[in-house]
Amino acid sequence: MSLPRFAIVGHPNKGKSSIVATLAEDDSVAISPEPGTTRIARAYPMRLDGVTLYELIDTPGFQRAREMLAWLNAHDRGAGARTDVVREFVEQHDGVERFHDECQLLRPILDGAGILYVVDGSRPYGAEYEPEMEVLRWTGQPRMALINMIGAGDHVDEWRAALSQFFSIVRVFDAMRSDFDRRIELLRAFGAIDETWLTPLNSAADALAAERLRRKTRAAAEIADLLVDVLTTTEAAALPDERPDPAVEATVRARLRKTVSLRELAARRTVQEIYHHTGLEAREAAASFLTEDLFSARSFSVFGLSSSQLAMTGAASGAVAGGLVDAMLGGASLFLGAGIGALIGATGALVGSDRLAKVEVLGQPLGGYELRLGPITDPNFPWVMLGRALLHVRLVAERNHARREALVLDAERDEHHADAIDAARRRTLDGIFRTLRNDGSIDRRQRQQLIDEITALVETA
Amino acid sequence: MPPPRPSTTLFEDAIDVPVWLENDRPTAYAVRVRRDRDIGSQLRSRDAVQQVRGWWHTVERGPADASGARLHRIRGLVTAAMIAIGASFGAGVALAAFHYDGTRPVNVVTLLATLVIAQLALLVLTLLLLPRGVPGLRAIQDLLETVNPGAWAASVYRRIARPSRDLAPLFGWHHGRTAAAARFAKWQMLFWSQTAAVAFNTAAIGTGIALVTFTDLAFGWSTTLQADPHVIARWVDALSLPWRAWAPAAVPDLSLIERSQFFRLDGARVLGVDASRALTGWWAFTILAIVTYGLLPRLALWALCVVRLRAATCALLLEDPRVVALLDRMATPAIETAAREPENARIAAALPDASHPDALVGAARAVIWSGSIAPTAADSHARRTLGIALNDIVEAGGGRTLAEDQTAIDRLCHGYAGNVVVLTRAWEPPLLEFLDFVAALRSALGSEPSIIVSPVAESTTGVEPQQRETWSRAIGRLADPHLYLETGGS
Repeated sequence: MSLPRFAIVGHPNKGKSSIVATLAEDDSVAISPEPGTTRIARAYPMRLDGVTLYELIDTPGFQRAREMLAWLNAHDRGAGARTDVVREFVEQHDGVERFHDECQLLRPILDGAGILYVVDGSRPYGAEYEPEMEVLRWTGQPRMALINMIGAGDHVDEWRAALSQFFSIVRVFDAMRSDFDRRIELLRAFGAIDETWLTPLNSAADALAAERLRRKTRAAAEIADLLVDVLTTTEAAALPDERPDPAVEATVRARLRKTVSLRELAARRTVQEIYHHTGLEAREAAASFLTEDLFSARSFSVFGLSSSQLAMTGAASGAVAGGLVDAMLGGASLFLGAGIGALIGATGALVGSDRLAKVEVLGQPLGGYELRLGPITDPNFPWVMLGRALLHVRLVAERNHARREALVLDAERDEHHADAIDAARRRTLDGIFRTLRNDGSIDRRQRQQLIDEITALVETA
Repeated sequence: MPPPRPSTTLFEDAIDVPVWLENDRPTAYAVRVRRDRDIGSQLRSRDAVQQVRGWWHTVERGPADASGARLHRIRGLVTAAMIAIGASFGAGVALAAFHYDGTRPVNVVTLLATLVIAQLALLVLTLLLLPRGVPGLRAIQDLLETVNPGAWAASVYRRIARPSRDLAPLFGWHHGRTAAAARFAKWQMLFWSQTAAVAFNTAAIGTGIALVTFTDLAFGWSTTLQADPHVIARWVDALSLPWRAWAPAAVPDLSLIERSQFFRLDGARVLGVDASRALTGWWAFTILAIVTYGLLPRLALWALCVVRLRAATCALLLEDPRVVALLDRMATPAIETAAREPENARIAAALPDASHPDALVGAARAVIWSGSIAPTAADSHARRTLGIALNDIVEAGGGRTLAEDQTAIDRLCHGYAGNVVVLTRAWEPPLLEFLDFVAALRSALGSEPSIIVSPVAESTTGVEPQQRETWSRAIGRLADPHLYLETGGS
């Protein structure tokens, strides 16, 4: 069984590299409106534990298809020899600058690659495409046409009619906007080009689907660890005596904020890497919510819980704790425990929301004093962190690797992000956040619970 | 072949591996996935600790950060110091408890109170430190921690070792930022305190035996309480229970107990000279009591600390999120879809843009390239966008052959030396075959007449700025002084 290989070919600037970037999840693929950006054929193997299951090959576009077809016609020896004539053309013009691009794109096809011919369905069909399609037919290799949608126009029907003359399979695929399921569907469809490729392509699709699930869990674990870290982070500085020093406190406060912000950035970088968006960082939009200062009022307003939600969540958590007391007393308390617990929880959540982190002056065991700031106790803070992280992971997970613009957020749509978290899940998360605030750590079971909850949120985000 | 790496302890690895993984973050994720999966699939052990340590000894890395080794060395020094302090204290206390100057016998009651009962009380307090999450116990534990020698050792350790900000919490109980770190800190503290306690008891027993061997000691018992020797005998019997079967000589009998009671007011007169030899009979009892109720419980607790500290060290390694992620990478298939090397985008050389023609007047001939516009619409398009009329139009490109293109050029240029407009599709890229056509047109037309390339927009909104730029650079690349680009816009 031969290795499934696919040469992505077509006119220049019709999205060949975009399709490769999307399917290979490689944001380092050079994509440019300038024709001729791709000058050499370049392989993108899909490997599972080092074993290649299929290979995509990005190629330059046709530049002189009519001249080449003229050469082929001039050397035609009948239908049975046409592949050989194409091979002769490539051999004779190897190293000739005039047909550099044609040789580059035809060589992998002559080596057995299937053909994925890409056109732009948002622009009108033109007869100048026919010579290149004819050249591809001469190669005799199995082939499929992909109608890519680069712009807003819709000329799919006229393209479909024309492409059907040269290709047995024609599919529409939007390289910029296709989600993961569409990509997997397309990958499986490649099996229709050559049925001997069906099994490895299905294996590859299954492996990619499993990897997709793993990414969600890994991203959730990264967010969970981010929350654990920022909710337990403290900063300290030595003090000459036990009197608090406002200047030292301001310095330590700035340091704490910087530490938390850097940790958030590190988590974002990791999430981006998990989703193979290694080049995304440099393209973050300056005006995006994601670059909004973590500690700004706007950040708290957009990503945090509202006062009423905070009170409700605090009350619910307090009621659970009070309810335990009631249960121990067999109801003899007339459920006063739950009531008092709810009141304490709600009040604590509201009162606590005005302070960010506690400040302490501590005596040291072997002498001296230390001003310690943190951990951050504001009950809304973990929700702000979580909201920002979920938004980021959603944008990154949805994002296509062919896109080159900055991450953009629809502010209206995402106003009050934490609203999306249902009350039951909020209570569970609130319990974990409280443990972190009170004990400074969570055990392995709670960490797993936190990851599971965040994974569920990532899936629904 | 790289030189073999020196063997490291579990503690060193628990410190160094997470630190190294943190510093490894800049390594591309795909590279880490591939590397860790490769190593993971070569390791035979399914045990997580062995897998991580196997990985650590296989992964290519520069000189290790010596944090682990340094902390391990200082940890060893602190342990040695605790042994020395415990032993010195034990020997000192034993010398005082076994003190005998020939005037009064060694009081067994005082000796047992000092070396057995006090220790049992301390042991109970130590056991109070073990449970976690018991309501109300946390405050007592915090109080006990402040008087625990292990906590003092941890404090001294932090001062000497000056561990990094991330590692410091490992040596402060209740300060660990993860449950594993808190567990490790607790068992490390208890290990140090029990090490000192074991050294204390060993030294006390050794000192006692030495005094018994190299000096003559007489033992008696004395108390203000009205103690009946029969009651004392029952207590002694009960205390001797663990060794009575195999060391009956170390169980004082009633007669010895009766004979060995003394009161300081009476001085040594109570003792007859013949009884002096008999009074040495207590020594084996006292030594075995310290062994049984002082040393053995401490040894048991010390052994528990050793086991739990090892488990806590394993947890310290395995519960670190970076190590959890490493194990995940080692255990799951590595999927790579990108090119082996990132593509280096060609940096486009600065190309000259095409020129705009001077004000066009009159009429020109035209080529419609690749069906960019219907011939019937070409003239009105030229009048609208270029301000000139088209008086002769030919078609080329598209589905036509190169020979047909040449025929079109020949017809257009026959006996003509005026301007030529080439209408082309704005949304299509300027292919090299189009530039070939323009070059052939120039050759047929002569060098002076102007050729104006005019991309035609698909819609009425005009040529898009990106399209104009693309065409402008392509036309500019031909470096023809009379070749212009005109899109009809700005």
